[in-house]
Amino acid sequence: MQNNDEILSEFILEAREILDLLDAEFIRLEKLPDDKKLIGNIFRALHTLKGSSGFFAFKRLEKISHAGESLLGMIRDGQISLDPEKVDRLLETVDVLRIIIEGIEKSHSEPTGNDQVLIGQLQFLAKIQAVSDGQISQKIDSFLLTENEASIDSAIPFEPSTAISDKSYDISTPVKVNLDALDRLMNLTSEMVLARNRLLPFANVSKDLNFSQTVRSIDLLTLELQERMMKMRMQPISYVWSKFSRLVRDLSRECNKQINLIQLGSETELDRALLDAIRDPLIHILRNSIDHSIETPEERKSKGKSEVGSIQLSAFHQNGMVVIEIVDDGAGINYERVRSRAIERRLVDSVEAEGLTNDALIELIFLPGFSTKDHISSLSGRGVGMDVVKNKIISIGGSIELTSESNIGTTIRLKIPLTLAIIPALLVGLEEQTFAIPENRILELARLIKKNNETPFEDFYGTPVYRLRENLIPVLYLNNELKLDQLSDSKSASINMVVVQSDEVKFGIIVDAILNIQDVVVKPLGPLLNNLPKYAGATILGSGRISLILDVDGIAVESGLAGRIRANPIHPVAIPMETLEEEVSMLLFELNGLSRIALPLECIEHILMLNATQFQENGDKEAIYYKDLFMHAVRLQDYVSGCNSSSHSEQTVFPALTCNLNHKTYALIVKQVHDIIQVPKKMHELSSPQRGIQGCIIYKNDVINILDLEEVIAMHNAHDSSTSYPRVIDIQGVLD
Amino acid sequence: MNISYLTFFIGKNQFCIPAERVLEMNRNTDYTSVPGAPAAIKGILNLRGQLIVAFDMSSLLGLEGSRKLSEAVSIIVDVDSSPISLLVDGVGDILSLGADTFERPPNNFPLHIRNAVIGAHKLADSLLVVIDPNLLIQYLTGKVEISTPVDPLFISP
Repeated sequence: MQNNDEILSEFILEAREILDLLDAEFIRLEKLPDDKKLIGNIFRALHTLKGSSGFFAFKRLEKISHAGESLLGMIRDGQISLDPEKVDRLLETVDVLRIIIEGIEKSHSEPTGNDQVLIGQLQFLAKIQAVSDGQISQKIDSFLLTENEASIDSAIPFEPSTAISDKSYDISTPVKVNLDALDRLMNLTSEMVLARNRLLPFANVSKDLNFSQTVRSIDLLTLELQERMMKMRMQPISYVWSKFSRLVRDLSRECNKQINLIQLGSETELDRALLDAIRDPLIHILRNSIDHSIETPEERKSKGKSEVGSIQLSAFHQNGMVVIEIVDDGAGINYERVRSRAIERRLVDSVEAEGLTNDALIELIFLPGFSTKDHISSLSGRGVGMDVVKNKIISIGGSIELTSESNIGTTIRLKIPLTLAIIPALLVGLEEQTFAIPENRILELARLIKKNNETPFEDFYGTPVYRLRENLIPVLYLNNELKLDQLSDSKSASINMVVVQSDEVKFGIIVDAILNIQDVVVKPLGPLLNNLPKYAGATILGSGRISLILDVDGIAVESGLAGRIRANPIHPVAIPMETLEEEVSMLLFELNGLSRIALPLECIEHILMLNATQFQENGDKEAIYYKDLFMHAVRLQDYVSGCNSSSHSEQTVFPALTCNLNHKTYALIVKQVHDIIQVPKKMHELSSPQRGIQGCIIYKNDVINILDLEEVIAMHNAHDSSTSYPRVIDIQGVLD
Repeated sequence: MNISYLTFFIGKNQFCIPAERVLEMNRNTDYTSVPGAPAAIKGILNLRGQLIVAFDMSSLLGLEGSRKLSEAVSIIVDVDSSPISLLVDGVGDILSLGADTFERPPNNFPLHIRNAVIGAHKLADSLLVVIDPNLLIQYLTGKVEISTPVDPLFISP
């Protein structure tokens, strides 16, 4: 019995794969009706299913797949041609087969039902033309006969190996692993990583070389194990997308629209758990596009567009996230309708609504209880709105953006993290405890010095706020938020603030200490503690102690910063990049002898603090090896006019700005880093060209030079740079 | 048919839980407190990589325990195949008791304790109160609704 069950579950798995394949292949077939190979594939797949059904004596399955197969056989042999009606019928066949398979899975026996109508239709379609040609009908009869014999005779199912060895039959799952088993393995790997973390400090202090080396190899092995494990959980996004062509086809026929679905980057890989999580939001977005955005062929024609609308799904990697874009070329968002609906739904009052920009109106779409379609259609508008989509995406650590232009279309962009299990997080100290803040929410860290023992915060009618580069951001004390004892501010001379972003709200969180950034394994808090929105989970630190992971969004909502005021963001100036396009962020720093020099922030990847000992000789240049990264050290003062290039020996710690140019990483060594400033993009030209300087800008009545990064790097890379620009590297001084 | 019970103490009061539910006992009480959690939840413990919620039994049962939690014993109990830790002042013997000595609580039993107590065994000189961890957790996670106007777990001790 056990054995039988196993064979049966294998059959169900196989059948499901075949049905998924059939779904996709039928859609392709509709577009390429003459593709003989495709028809052959479908025919074989259906035949395999029929054979296996015969083995288990599932009569319904066998009969339906037989009828479908016969019709396909005739199409394959060119006796009849494929038209949308036949595709509909065949897809319906696949649906019925799926229902039966699901029934078998539940009850281990075939559910009862009458399939005469469907079988009749299939046979009717197969006969229409056959009757008109007696010769052919005879052929069919003989064909049907042989097929019947085959299915009755074969106690052994149709040789599946031939189907699988056929390259076009793309089911490539060599080993099937239970997801549970995979998860357990993943957990063990996480534990391994944690145990490794606990081991590393011992190796660092040990004088036993053998021990250190052993630990080092364990370290490397664990790293690889972790990476491989993560890869194993990854699956291409086509796992979710493959079902969409069918969905789009069915829905567009239902709405009498013609839609072409384009899928780009379907090989992009994502964690399996995330794939499951994004399926419903994506379906919802697609439904919205088909139902609301894409116009009917007549409307499209009158607007001068192609009658066939298009929806383009694309997925790609960007900055450690997966970006999924859904672009349609439909009517776009009707902002006036959004405005009137928002007033109608009392999301905003009419005076307020008049002043809202298009961007603010888009925000309204994501509010609960918003739907602009005047009538509720069967497709979308079941009261489940974009707010649900947004919540789902946010709950997995992603974000959603929507842009729309009237009559050009709508673009929805989802940013999804690669995995949920391991995230980089900043550890912060608060009283005796350590908390973790997910790094992807952190904008910057600030250390604020108290002047005359007063906090650097201003009082905004009782609410503490901070001026961060001319923008006011609200400030939360973490100990207040977590209802811990109030710590007196007067103890230390400085305040540590973590600036975080939650939806459109940017705020500062005050903590006692900022520790370090590390990869943490997220563990859920479990059902007993999951009603605490301030935590996203917990993680076990290298010491074995547990640290709670803060949920930035949860804290924003709990403190009242987000949620209630979402319809009316209080900091429109918080996004200067969009409102003032002319401005650009620059990092202001100092070189020996040149106190104000800046570099566009987008050129810089990281800011590091390097010790003199971290510089290593590399020919006549210097190099830095930092955290598995090889960098060319560029002492900027040697290349920029007006700098004093010889005296850098007193300094022991050097700030370094890392940047990438032509696939090489450079560490630009500066004297001191000052601030990030917002300056106009337009640059003033210099009266005479200066070495290493591109131009200058005026900021708060000061002249600020802009570094010419490319020129500096070119100078650095030139072999004879030392002769053309005399310079002395005081290596002895550095090493002292 | 007798059932084995593990007895434990909160202050001077003695309680017991079915021994078959007990996975292990240890003195690992290095918990991380969870600000904002119900008062009865002391925090979370790390049991060989697994996160375990630690309950302070004295606060849960509304009793004055010996306040030094560093001397507490953590009883790891299996509830719906996910373990939890019960922090108690000390553990006693394992007793094997039959149905003949068991009595259900009277109707006027305090409601908040009835969430955890399924009855008592009549010992020679005292009543041994039997705690059902399952019932306790079901109540805490809201699976069993008990009409208490005030939730005793959310009142700080």
